[in-house]
Amino acid sequence: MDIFRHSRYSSNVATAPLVGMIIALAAAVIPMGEKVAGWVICGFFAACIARLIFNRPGARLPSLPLKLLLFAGSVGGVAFNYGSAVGIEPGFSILVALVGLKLIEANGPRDFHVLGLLAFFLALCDLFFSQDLLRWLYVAIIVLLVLATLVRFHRGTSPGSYSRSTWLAMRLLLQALPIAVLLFLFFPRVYGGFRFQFSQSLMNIGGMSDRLSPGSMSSIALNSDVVFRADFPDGNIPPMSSMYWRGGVLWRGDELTWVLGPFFSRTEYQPAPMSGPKIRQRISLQPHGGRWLFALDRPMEMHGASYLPGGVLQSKRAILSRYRYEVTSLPEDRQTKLPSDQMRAALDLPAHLSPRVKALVASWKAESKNPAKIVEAALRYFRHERFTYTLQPGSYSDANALDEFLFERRQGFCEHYAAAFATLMRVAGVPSRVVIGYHAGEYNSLGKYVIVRQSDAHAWCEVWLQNVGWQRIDPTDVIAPDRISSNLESYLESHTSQSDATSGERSLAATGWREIQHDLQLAWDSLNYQWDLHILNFDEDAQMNFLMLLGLGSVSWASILIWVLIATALFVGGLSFFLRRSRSTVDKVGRGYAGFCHALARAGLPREPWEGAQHFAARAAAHFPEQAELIGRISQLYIELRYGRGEASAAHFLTAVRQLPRFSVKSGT
Amino acid sequence: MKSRIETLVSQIGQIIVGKEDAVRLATACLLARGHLLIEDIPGVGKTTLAHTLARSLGLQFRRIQFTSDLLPADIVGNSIFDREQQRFIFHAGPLFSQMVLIDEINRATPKTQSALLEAMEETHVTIDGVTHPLPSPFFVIATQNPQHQIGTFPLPESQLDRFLMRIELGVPGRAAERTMLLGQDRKIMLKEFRPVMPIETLTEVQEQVRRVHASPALLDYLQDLLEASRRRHRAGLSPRAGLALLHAAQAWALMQGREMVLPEDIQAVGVAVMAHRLGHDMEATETSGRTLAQNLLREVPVP
Repeated sequence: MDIFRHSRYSSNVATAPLVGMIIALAAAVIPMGEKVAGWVICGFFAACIARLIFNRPGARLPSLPLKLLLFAGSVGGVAFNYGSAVGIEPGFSILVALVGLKLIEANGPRDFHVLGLLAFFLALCDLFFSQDLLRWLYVAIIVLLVLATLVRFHRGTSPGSYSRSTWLAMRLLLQALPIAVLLFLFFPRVYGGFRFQFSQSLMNIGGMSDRLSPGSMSSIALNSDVVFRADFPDGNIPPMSSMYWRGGVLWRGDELTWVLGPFFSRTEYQPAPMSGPKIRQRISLQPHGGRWLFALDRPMEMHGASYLPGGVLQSKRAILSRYRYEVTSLPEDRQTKLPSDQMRAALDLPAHLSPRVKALVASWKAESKNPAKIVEAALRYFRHERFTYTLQPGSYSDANALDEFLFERRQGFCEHYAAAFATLMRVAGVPSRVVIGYHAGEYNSLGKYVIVRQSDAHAWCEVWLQNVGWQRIDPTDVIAPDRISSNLESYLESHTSQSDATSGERSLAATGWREIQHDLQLAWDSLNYQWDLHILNFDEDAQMNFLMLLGLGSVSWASILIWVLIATALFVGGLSFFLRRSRSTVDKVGRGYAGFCHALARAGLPREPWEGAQHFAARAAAHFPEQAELIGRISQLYIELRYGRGEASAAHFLTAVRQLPRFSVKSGT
Repeated sequence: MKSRIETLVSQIGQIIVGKEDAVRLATACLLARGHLLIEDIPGVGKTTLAHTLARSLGLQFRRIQFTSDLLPADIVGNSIFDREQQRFIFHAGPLFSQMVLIDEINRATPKTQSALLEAMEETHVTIDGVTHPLPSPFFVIATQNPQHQIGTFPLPESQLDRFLMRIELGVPGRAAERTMLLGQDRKIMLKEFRPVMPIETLTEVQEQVRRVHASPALLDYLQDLLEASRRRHRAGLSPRAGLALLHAAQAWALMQGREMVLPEDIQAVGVAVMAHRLGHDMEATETSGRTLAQNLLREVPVP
């Protein structure tokens, strides 16, 4: 090892801390796995292994030309892979690649510290991809590991046990906690124009689109990603079966495919005066890349969002980060007047209709001209003909889908029923539209909120009845009533298990275990939600409210920032002062002696750190002969107290020390 | 007690002129029941010091000159067949005496060296399956010439560790040398010496050394030293070195007439106890163990 110490590229980092650092770096890179090019991840782990191999005595690190080659290769490779070296994914890929390269060139303490900083940075980068509680804990563990590794690194050749350095790292983090809390509460949340723009592939966007076509709902029916969570601050929670979370209204229909429809001029549209019982909801929406803001049927206008004519809310820009809003809904609102352009749009018929469809509608109209009766007739048709509700309805031809669905296959998911029903109503001359959104969700009784997942996606229908207004009609309710009263998962479960003969023998224990698992999942989700609510959601507005609460609402950001910095400096200074004091002087006697030494130091005779009391006393007595007696007495008492069997009296010592000021003034001259 | 030890020191001082520190350290080593290694060039009075110590304490004294052809049996003794009794009789070697002076320990082969060091550690020797206890007290003074001489076998660290202290005598000062030149023949002086301390008293003092109080604050300081040495050097001080440091400091404190150990005591014996244990550090070949020990004492603060 000695021979290689002077070699420039020798591998000169102790193995144990290096292993710790590599584990930390690898742990920080793993969550990025999905978003970073696969070969970059492989290269990174290869670099980890290579560095460990290099870390034997005698092994040499890669030379400069090789490193340059690798650097050019990885940056070029990433640029080739993504078509550009600029952007989020290429950026992360290059970051990971460069950290790998840094790892294989790391040599000596300075580089080791750089690796520590990189590990912190990577760990924080993990939070770009997810911010749930689990991820935060994961990042906290990585930070702890990096700190402990740095502590071990600085302990040199006898670093002691891992638990000791981990314990020290934990203590360091705990000591930093008050500063973190202070900065969290008071540090100004400034959002400049800077926004992280994730591309679609990073966003996990799925679910609702602006278009309803056969298969668009059933494709996400098994996706259990959370769309949003909602709680009800007033405590009045509507029954699950009537929780229709409104997302978008589709006006233009063609057979089974429905789209957003015309743009209504704002001037003609006036929201009706709203009345009836109100339900307040607080919704925390996961980023979905679109502009939908979901709310219970039917939301009131909300600050910061546009209110569309269909009675839905829309954000002014795409939702790319968690968005939290409060909205009030009026379940019994009745609009009494329909603007003419909306009326026209709600009666707009598809270009081609099969004669069978027309005949069916004509038969209903023959019974009664009353729109309400026609609606009943249509629902009766769905109920009595052999329609089935299924996740695999098969695909329908585009041209004649409605005919095929109504008269031949009669298999569909909610989007088929809603689209077909709305089209039929228009044929019958009843204004109608399709609403897409979510239905019900899962109630978390622990946190008292509702979790709505992609699998709760739903489409239903609204018809315009004179004197009643828009009336919600959910044809799915007629076909599969228990689908509406329970959620999809349990619906599918009960329906598949009926057909499955062996599942009847499924043991009770397994069901019990599943229930426990589910309960735990709910508990965890509730914890996560609280974290989301209180920590992650502490944004500009929340901070403003908090400052108002403290009576600091009118104080400018600049002065708050200055006070925060002063408080942090005071805290750090105070803590280090306290720690220094408590380390150098553990007790009264020690403090007394420190005072004695301090007095002598001021008088021009400092005690060397390594100097024992007796030695120092002899030196001091020689230096200040007139005080020799007092110096000798103090030192002797101190020695007795410190090194003796505890027979001397601390009080005597302290009395002797108290005579010091006179002494130091006199001898200082 | 202090006066007795002072008498001892001053009596030795009559012969070993101007080397009071070395004499005191040697005495402390003896009182701490440790063995002593003297490293210096020939002719500075190593043998005389050993002889004087033995004489002043009334100990039975033997001197063994180590050479490269010396065998273990030559020092521990061997069994010889006795015709009259028709059996093997053990004839004890020169090692069986209360004070043994080993001259030029690094001239013997490692085999002989290790036989000696084993005896020093165990205070008994085993020959032909029979264990023979060495006399008590048993005290070894070994001398060694500085190691850059041809034909020597330097002692490995593990064996150096068995010596409580290593001291150097050095050339006496001008005045001391003059006294020596003018004075009587040392050998005649030595013969006139009376023991100042009977063996029973010596044993008692040795017992007393172990009872000298070491307070927690002192032990903190001691451990700080050990830790610092381990942090700084690849081969730091061993736990045995820690014990050696404590015992030597206790002896030193007792010699000062104190019933407790002070950091000053550790500092007084520190270089003698630590230097030969640190000198083998591969990382610091240029600096001698002595410098390393001094740096250590200068850099570790007294708590």
